[in-house]
Amino acid sequence: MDPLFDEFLHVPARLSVVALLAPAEWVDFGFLRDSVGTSDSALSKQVSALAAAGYVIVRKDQDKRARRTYVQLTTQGRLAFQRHAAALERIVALARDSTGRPVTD
Amino acid sequence: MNQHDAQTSLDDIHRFQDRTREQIVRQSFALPRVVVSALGLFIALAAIDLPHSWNLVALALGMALYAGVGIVCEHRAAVRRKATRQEALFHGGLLACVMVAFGIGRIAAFALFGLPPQGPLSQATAGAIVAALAYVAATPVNRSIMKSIVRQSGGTA
Repeated sequence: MDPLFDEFLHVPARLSVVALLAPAEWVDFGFLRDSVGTSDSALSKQVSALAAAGYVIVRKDQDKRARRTYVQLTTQGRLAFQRHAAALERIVALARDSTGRPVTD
Repeated sequence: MNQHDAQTSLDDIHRFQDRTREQIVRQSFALPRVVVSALGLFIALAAIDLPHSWNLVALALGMALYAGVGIVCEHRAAVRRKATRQEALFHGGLLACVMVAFGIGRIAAFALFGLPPQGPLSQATAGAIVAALAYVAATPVNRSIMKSIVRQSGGTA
C-alpha cells in the first residue's frame, strides 16, 4: 500500500466531506449534508470524527433567523487530503503503466 | 485497493470539488445579487448629473447598495472563501467595463437624443441605464470567467 494512502480518510463519506471543503474556506453544514446526500446525524458523526483527527474545525454562527454551522479544513486536513489524492493518482498511474493502457470501467 | 477503486475515488473527489466550485460561482452571480448590484451602479452613476449635494447623497447610496449586497450575500453564503488576486482583478476590470459602457451611453444620449448634461433625465441617467443593463447582460460571461478563476485557484487534488 502507498505510504501516503490514508485509511481513515478513505471512508467514502469522510472523503466526500473533505473534497467538498478543499476548494473553500468555510462550508455550511447544510450544503455539505445536501451535497453528500446524507442525514444530519450521519454527517455530524463523520464531521466529529474528522474534527477529532484534527482534519476539520467546526464553528457555530448565530444568525438573526437561525443558528448556522460552518466547517473548515485545517492545514493538517488539507495536507492529508493532498497526500491521499496523490496516493490514489499514483495507484492509477502504476496500473496504467503496467497494462500500457488507461484504466476503464 | 485496486486501480479501479482508486479511479472511482478520484472521480468522486473531482465531482465533489466541482460541486463546491459551482456553488461559489452560483452565489457570486445569483440573479437577485446581480439585479441589486446593477441598481446600485445605476443610482451611483445617474447621480453624477444631479444638483450639488444631491449627487453626493445618491452616489453614496448607490455605492452602499452595490457594496452592501455583496457583503450581505457573502455573509449568508453556504460556501465562503477569501477572494484571490485574480478575482480582485476581474472585479476591477468588470467595473472598468461598466464605466466604459456608461461613457458610451452618455455620448450616445447626447448624440442621438440631445439629452442635457444636468437634471434628472440627463446624459448620465441614460449612461447609467446602459451601464446597468450591460452589467446584467454580461452575467453569463462573468459567470464563465469566474468559473475558470475558481477552477484555477480553488482546491487541490
